[in-house]
Amino acid sequence: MPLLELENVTKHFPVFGGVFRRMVGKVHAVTEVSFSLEKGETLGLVGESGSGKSTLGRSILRLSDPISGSIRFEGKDLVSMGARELKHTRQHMQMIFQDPFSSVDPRMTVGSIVEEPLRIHGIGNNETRREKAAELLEKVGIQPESIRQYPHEFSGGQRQRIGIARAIALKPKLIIADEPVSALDVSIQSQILNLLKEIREEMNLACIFIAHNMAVVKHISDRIAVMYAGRIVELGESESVCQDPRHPYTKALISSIPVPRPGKKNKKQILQGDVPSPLNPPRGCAFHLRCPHVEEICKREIPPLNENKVHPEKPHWVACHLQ
Amino acid sequence: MKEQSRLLLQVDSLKTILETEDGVITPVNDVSFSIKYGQALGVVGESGCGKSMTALSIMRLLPHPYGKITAGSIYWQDDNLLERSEDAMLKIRGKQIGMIFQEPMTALNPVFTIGNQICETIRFHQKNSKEESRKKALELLNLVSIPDAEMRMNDYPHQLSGGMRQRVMIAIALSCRPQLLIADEPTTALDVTIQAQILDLIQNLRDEIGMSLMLITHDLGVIAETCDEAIVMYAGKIVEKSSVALLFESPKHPYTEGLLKSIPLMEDKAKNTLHTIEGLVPSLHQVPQGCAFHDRCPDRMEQCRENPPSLIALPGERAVACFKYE
Amino acid sequence: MFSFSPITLKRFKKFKKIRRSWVSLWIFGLLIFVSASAELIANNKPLLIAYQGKYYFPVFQVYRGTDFGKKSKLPPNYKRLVKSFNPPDFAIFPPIRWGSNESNREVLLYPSQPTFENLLGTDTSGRDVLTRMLYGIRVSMSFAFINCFFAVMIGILIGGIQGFFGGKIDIIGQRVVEVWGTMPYFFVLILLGSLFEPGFLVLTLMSGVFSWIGLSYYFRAECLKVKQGEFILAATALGSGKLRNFFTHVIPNSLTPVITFTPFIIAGGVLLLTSLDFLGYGVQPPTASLGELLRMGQQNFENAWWLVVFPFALLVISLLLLNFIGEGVRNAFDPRKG
Repeated sequence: MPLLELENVTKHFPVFGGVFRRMVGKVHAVTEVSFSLEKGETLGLVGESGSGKSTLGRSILRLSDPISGSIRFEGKDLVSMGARELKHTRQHMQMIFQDPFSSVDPRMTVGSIVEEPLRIHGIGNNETRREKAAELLEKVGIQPESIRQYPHEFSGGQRQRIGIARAIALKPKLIIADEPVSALDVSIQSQILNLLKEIREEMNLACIFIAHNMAVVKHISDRIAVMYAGRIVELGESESVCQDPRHPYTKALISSIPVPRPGKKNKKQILQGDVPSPLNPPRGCAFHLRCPHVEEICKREIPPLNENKVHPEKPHWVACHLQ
Repeated sequence: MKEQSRLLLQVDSLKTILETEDGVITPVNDVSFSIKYGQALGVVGESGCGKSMTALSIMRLLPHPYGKITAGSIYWQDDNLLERSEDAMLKIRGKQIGMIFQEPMTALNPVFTIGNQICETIRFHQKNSKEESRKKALELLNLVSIPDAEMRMNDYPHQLSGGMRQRVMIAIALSCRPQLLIADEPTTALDVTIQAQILDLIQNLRDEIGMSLMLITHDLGVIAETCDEAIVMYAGKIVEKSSVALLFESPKHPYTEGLLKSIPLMEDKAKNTLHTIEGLVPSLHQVPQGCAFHDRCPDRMEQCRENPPSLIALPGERAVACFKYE
Repeated sequence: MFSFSPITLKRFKKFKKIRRSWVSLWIFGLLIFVSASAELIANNKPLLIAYQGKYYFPVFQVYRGTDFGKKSKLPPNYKRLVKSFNPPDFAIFPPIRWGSNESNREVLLYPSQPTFENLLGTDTSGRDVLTRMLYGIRVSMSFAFINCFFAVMIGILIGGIQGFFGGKIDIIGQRVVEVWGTMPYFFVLILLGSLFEPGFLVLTLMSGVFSWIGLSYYFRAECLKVKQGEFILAATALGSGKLRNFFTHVIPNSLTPVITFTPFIIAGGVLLLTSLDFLGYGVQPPTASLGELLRMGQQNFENAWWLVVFPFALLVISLLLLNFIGEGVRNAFDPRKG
């Protein structure tokens, strides 16, 4: 049984407007997303702003209700779960946020931030919790003496470490990391990535790693899912998605990454147009307005996520009519 | 291109201080560099290294009254900008040096249409008639490849996407055909595919109107793809100065080297542990003694702790501030 | 152990740097201190009496005339009593020798001018104006502080309920609050005051019921804003429930507007009581109050300038101080002013 299984997860936000606050539209944040995650596996979720990757991450933890479809964690459906059971299940799933500045309560000491999950779930007493917090901080590379300090005394990278310590306090089975390094300086980014990898291996964590930077995702993930306008357009093993991207969007995404190697300028494939608004996604394939290979069918029908049979030994799914 | 070798901008031993609540900091400390006609200079560094403050010092746009330039000179062609009056600076800003910022939404006025804002800039500097400036604004929007420019003129900033707003900012910055464009993290807030579009646009515009560029970014990849020369800043100082080709081929300063190695690349084998630079990015409130990088440096020596190294010229018209090369 | 978070300390430092507000706070504190100890400063009872080798403290304790060798079992008139003392008996009076309700019987005409006896003159009943002002400002301050306490409690409760639930409860609550806010509360207070002649506490409670509205707006807005913060989401992801989130994270982070509002609510309270007293619907006579003095002054404007000038000056000064303090607090809490 996979640790986590998503089936047709859809999240549409209503948009209200006018004097009577009637629903005037829907934000199609996530549409019909399905995938599964094994124990200890890392799935990278890549996409640009508005692609729904963050919403999907939050939906898995049921931080943004309501969702349709089913999300099964160890066989139990989270979508229909009651509050008490949900609280219990959340012990096993934790989240790391993008902004280390806004994701911790500025009025709490570092110690109480890391202790909070233990307090919430009533684990241990004040003393053992304190000890545990010091231990966790040491593990993520923060001096345990700083337990009495406040978050604003720390830099972004250190705060992200504190966020990680908080997330692993309950020994979860799944961690959802929402852009954990994109707010950090380059030299700090690699420290945090290494720390995440280390902890993941040590604790045998499954991880959903959400990011917009393909190279970062590739570095940490076993498999990669590329999202565009709320849907997964390509899913496969990380090597195979990166070396042999099938979807034209993935290709463009990879070629858009600035490479720290001068003289490589000309190969770039530059997409025209803007990321589509999730409020009003285009008909048919959401990418057809920017796709260099667009055909008639793309404008009419939404391509299903089909298995690509080119390399049978490496499962690889692509949502493109032209495959 | 006839003036290729002449200097457009020459910054010499610039020192800028900034008063903050927690004391006085020196975000720009003895910084010297120059930009030639038509050249693209990249300034790279991490948060708090002083790269933005360098740009603001050149524009004389330091936060008043907390920021002050205390030493050095900034020569724009033949005159020292630091000796200019505020009124005289108005004629240089926008007209001869354009600037674009990271967050185009906050740089645009939300209550005016973008057409309005471009026209205003044009008329401020060129005293054109209304129709003329409108025509010019339209030209500019076309120049920065905004589709349906005529219609977009009547849009308000919030109606545009981030990429479009940045294009508008570029259009405004280019309205008077400046000889130098200072771009402060112009693509940091944008998506990767949009970043590629904007960088491509800046590249094309440079070819088209032959302006110089000072591009400030934390992303070495962006520098590699856009610039000819680069300076690397750390804790308010320049630690390395080189042509882009040489910088990436053989970085000299241990910081540059570490930075380059710690970027995850697409062609890397997955699962490798990334190279890291130990320690924290120093806060300008507590710049380490001696070489500011010494506590993170893998090659540190005894003297690094005591004295700050000065820039040492190396073959290939490059310079590095490190005792290793003495 | 309770300790201040560094944010609070930083704000306090910032407040201290705003000279005008910091000085105002000190002067205001002094004013509070002086008026709180009014009995020790202005009283017709001595602070200390030494009588036949024993010590007496009339300010703090009620003595009978018999204690001092008189026939009456009522508390003695100390001023007269002391005149009959022979050494070594002595009495120490407070600096101002007037009780709050004591008339100066030695002058013929009330109100009488400032003299050495009555430094700021007397009111229409011959009572010492300085003494009345001292006792009056105390009443005003207690009223303002208790009123503010009620206002803050109700404001936090209602703003908090709106902020916690959001959605429909928030929208309906907001409309109700708006309707409540349109009530001409001053007239309502006058009406109630004339019907019931309320006591001091009831009066403060009644005015408190009308003083929380502005505060609840801000507290609600702050709650709604903080609730959106990522650290709330983070707590939820850790398994924390809505109610726990609200009490451990939202409220402590939403108190800024409450603190910045307080000085202004207090100033409003001072002004409100003075207005009510001026019209005769405030505290019951013979309690001293600034409003009452001002009314007397208004009625005798032509022949008793001191009844207008001094109470008015005190009122203006205390309001000014409160506003300076409020301004300082607001600036200290303003994140935009580095």
